Amino acid sequence: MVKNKTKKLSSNEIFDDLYISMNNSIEKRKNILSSIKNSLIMQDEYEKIFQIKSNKDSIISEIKKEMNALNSDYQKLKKLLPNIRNVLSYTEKELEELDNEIGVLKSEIKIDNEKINQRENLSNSIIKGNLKSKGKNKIIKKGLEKPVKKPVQKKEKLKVEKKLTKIERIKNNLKVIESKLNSL
Amino acid sequence: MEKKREIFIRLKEISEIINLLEEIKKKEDILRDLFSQYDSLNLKEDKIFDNWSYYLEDILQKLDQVTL
Repeated sequence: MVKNKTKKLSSNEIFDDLYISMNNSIEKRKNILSSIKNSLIMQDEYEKIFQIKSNKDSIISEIKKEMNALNSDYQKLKKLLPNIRNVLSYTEKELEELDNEIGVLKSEIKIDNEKINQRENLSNSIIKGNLKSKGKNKIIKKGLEKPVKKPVQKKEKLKVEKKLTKIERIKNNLKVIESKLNSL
Repeated sequence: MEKKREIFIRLKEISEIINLLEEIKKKEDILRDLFSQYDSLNLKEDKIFDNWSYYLEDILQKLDQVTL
């Protein structure tokens, strides 16, 4: 004969614990498990973010090194290439000055040319006047030559006088021209 | 008529200048690659943070649904 060793619960012990039934237990389990899954995914991505930040720091350090090297190369280039700013500004200024000087010179040239033309006209007019006076002397010489030898002497004298008179005439003409130029 | 005046600038040591320019070009290409890599990493980081926000919202919704 087997003895029942199981104990029988008292009535008080039966009524101490409360048991409540769960509605939709399967969905609740699913929700809990999915939330746990999402949290695990987030932890995984949190580690990825750390890796990304470390990669970014390494890239930044490389960029800094490359930038420093580039700056040194640019400075070398600046030293090798000429300084264009000052050169261009100076050349522009020089060009402007030259243009101004050229304009002044052109105007001066015009004035000088006019003066030269006036002088030439005056000299031509004066020379024409002297030539006319020379013709009269020649007529006088012919008349004097026929009767007496004296006109030879007179010619010589006249020639000598002509030489003097020519020089004097030139001097007088120059004086007239200078006076007219000064008046202009 | 105004004549156009041409300005000439003399360059010395052209070979060195050319070598320098080639090196500068290479370094600029390297820098571009590095910046592109940096931009891609930034985009990844931004995506991860956006996903985090979605995950957190999902967790909160599901935990709210879990009611006894």
